[in-house]
Amino acid sequence: MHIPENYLSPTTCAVIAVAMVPVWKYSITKIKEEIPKEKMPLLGIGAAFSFLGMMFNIPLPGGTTGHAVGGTLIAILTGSPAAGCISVSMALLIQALLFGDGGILAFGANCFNMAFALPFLGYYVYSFLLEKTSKRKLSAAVGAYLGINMASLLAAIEFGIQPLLFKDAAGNALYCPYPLSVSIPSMMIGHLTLFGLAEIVMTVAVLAFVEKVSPDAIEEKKPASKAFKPLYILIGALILLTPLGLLATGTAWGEWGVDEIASIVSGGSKLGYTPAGMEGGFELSTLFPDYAMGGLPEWTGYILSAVVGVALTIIIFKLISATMKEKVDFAVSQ
Amino acid sequence: MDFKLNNTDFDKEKNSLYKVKLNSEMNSKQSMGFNYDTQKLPLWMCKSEDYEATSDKDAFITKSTKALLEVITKIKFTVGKDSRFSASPSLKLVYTLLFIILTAVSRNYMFTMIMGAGVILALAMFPGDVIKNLFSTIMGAVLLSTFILLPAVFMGSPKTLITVTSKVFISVSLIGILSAGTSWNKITRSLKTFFIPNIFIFTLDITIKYVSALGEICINILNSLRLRSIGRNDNKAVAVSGVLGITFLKSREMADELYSAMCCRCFTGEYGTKTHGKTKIILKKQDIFYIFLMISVLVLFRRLG
Repeated sequence: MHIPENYLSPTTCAVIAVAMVPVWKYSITKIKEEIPKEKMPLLGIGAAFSFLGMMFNIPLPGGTTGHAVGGTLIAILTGSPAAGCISVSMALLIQALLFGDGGILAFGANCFNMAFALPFLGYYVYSFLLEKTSKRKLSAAVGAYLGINMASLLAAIEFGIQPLLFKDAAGNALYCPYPLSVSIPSMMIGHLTLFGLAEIVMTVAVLAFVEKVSPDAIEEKKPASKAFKPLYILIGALILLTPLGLLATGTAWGEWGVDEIASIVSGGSKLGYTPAGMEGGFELSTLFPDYAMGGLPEWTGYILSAVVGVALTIIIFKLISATMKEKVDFAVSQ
Repeated sequence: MDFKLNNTDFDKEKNSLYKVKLNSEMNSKQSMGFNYDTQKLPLWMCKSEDYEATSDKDAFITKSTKALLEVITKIKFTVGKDSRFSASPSLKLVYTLLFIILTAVSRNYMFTMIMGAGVILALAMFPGDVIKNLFSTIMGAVLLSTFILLPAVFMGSPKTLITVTSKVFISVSLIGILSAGTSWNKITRSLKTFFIPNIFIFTLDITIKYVSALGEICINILNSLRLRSIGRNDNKAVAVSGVLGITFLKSREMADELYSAMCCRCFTGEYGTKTHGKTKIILKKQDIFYIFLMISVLVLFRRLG
């Protein structure tokens, strides 16, 4: 679901990025108000989970792949969709800057889909259902499923409006060439079935794990730093498993490279040309392109990328919590 | 009703107090023979005082104090702490040096990348405030090297910038990790394992301790200089020699005291990993992991070059 560079026109990117600014601002103030310093590591852990989740690519017949995002999971773990927003944004930023997964220009759009729509919708559905049914895992599953589908629908719409808005003189699309009638089914079929299921599995499994192993981490207001230990261990285990993502050989729908796109068959016919806006577009050369390092077997590159990504997210959130001031609540006496 | 009554009472009281004060002032003036006779008093005494301190720049004092305080806090408060899983100090020194040398020597960028990933992972293990401290030093070094190497990009070898900068990042982080994860006295002591002469270790040890002790003295002198600078003092910087001179005298005094104190505690000038006359290298259980780590890095270096 990561929209790469040059699939959306710069204007679309700009509009969505501007729309994201108030969301980020709201989230940051919300986090400052709601989340105590002791719970900040949970945001880093959440971002790390999200980062790893996005590395497990699941293949779908027809050659496309997809992945879970885990935004709803972070929102549920921290009890605040704002935390989900910031965590997923951070994971996406690291992916875009270091690994070339998702474009820099399209960062705003990716955040809008995966860091705004996904956790907020997912969390509100979850809390609504939890209130009605008081079944935590069921509510989490439904929330996560709806969240990821909303995100993919938004991504499909962003792809789909490109050919309507931006065409050259010959009628060829400048950016993403597929209209809504192609992009929506292509994106949604995968997400309504397998990738939605992946999101459910990831959310419910991690939630169950946390409930069982360290309930303090989510239930206590100020958990001790020890409470997060099992989660770090789980992250370590997931890092070792990331090469499983290599089993999926295809490219996700809408994430083809510039060299691939002309030969892609989607919506029944081959495209046959490379959209002009993509060919001469902006491209950032990253340190670890596509989670691989030249000269090394692919799986080591994958593990190393996972290590770097996870360590960086954790460092970033530790730094944030170090700069946060200790909040003292004088109203509550203990 | 009650309130109103109280209020007027209060007003009355206030008025009466005011009157009393006025009266007492007048009385005291009269009793002291205070009449404004300019014949008897010198003229300057009759003028009302309107002294205002001229604005004075004390950047010299402030800056030096700040710099000293920073160094002292670094030594005193960011004391490295060993975690439960850290290796014994001598081994730490060995692997840090080894990793730095291998990274510097390696020509394969992949090796540098892997080392970088490892360093980032190690950094992530530290608590937030430590990372913050480390980052300020690391980023300084990285920015400096980027700045120095920037011409290389324009002269057609942009890869140099990335390689050298990442190597700088790795080396500085490794040193940072070493100092953040080990207390100073353990590091100086572990130097003995490498057969470094006692006199060097002794000097190093005393230097570190003295930087903080003398720094405090310096700060005290600077404070007193600030207090004594009344009005405008344009040449505060002249006082540098004084500050340093007094610090030097103090340091001599302290050196004598320290030496006798050490002698009293049976210090013969020898640092020992020696127990019962034998030099022993003490290893912990955790060290096995680090030795394994060193071997695997060496193997990797052999393979990648």
